[in-house]
Amino acid sequence: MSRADSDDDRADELTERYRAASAADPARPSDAVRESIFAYARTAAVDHATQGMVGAPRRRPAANDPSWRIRAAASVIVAGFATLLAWHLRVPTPSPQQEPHASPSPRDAYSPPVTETTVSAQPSEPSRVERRAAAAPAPNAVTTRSRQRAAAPAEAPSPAHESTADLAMVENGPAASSRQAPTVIAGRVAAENASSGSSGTEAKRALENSIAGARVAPSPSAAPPNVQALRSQSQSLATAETARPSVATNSPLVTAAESGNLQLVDQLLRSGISAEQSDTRGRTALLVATLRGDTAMVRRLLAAGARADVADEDGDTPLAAARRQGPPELARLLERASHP
Amino acid sequence: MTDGGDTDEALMLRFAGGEAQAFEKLYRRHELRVWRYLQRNLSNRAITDELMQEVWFSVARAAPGYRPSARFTTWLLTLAHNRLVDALRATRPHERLSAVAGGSDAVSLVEQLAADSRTEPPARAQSQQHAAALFAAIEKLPPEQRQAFLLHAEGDLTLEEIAQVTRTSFETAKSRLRYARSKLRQLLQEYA
Repeated sequence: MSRADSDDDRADELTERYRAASAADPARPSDAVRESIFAYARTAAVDHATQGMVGAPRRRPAANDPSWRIRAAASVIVAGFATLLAWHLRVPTPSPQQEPHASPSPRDAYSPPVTETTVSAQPSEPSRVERRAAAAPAPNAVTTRSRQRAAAPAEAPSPAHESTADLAMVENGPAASSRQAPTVIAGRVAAENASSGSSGTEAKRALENSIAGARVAPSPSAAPPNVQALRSQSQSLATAETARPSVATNSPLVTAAESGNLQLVDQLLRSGISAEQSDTRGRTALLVATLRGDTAMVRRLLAAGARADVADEDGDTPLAAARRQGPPELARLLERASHP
Repeated sequence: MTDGGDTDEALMLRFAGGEAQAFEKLYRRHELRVWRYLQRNLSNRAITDELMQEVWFSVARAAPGYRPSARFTTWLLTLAHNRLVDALRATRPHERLSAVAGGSDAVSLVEQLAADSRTEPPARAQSQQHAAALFAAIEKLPPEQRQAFLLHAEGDLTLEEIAQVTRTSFETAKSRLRYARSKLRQLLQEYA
């Protein structure tokens, strides 16, 4: 027996009796109840009609409505124009990755004025000194810059009257004290080179470093020389400038090490210059010599007390550089110096 | 249900579109059905009127979302049944039937029918006595059996619809209706 055919579903005699009795029942809801319900329904009907009018435009367009393609295309075009406009109006950011080609970059337009020595042609390929920029710092490295910052009060620039006194001492020749000796030697070597015409660039770099050392007095051992005299010599050597890369340094020892002039390095060290003198980027002469692979110069610098664990601003140390690029003999030499 | 060519579902949809007259027509069509279902379960006129308003207010509010997936009568009596259950839960058991607001309307009706029968012709008086006895017997039924009987006799619902309204199984609804009928017959024999 299915549910629809159930006997219980059919109206029996009892149900018919109830319906007859209920129909005769005069009881009804009051008129007040009916009116209140009707009043509520009329208000609700107005709301429903209003919602229907407001809700009609909310119908979403069908997916096959072609108008969405036009709107999408217009949106893409507008976004493209906005991007182009923003690209043209933006301020160029000095980032070398943005202009990898040889064409003039915005960075060049915003570069500060440079001296003759720094406005030289860029190197055609990165030097070994530049390749080490990505090297990781040694774990126990002590940066030269941090040591210089710690010793800053003791290395304050010398007063002007000291420069005047130094000028007189330079003119006195051999009577120069040990404090001015490195700069004097550099100036003399540069003058000799300029007179012989062998390497005007190296001599000029040494002179510029001497001038820079006189301006900032980076270490107690580098006393300010006769600035005007050195500058005039540097200008006289400007015509001998070649198209070699220039590195901003302020240490004659680093400059000599970079040039590979072992004789000059030896002369500077004998004059009492510190073997740990560094340039503006924190590079010591030992690091530069190591990067050059100059074992002889490294031996000389180590003999003068240069430390193999002094890191530059990039965190690179001579020992790390030697381990990275060799030769193995140089790495072993520096390891022995680090762990006597 | 149709009356004048409009089905309940069509009237409901017209009211959802903002036509107040459709609601009034729908109300008059189902007024007594809902009111009697509530009144015979509660036996209290004041509470019945209050629930009556709540039920039809709910109908008016739910009109925009109404979908004619089931019979309107079933949906309407579901609203009424839910309101009834809420009212019965809110009322303490001894107050459910006749102790609220001045006594039992069902007893008054039985007494009124009995009194009228003394002044009416014999055939009509006998009919009224039978009606009073029937209403009194319905009042004595357990609530679930009474609701099943009234949904069937007053609302004209099938067993499946009764099960749907009362949220029970088909067999449960069937059992309740069967026990209600059996009980009513037993009570009516006592009146006779």
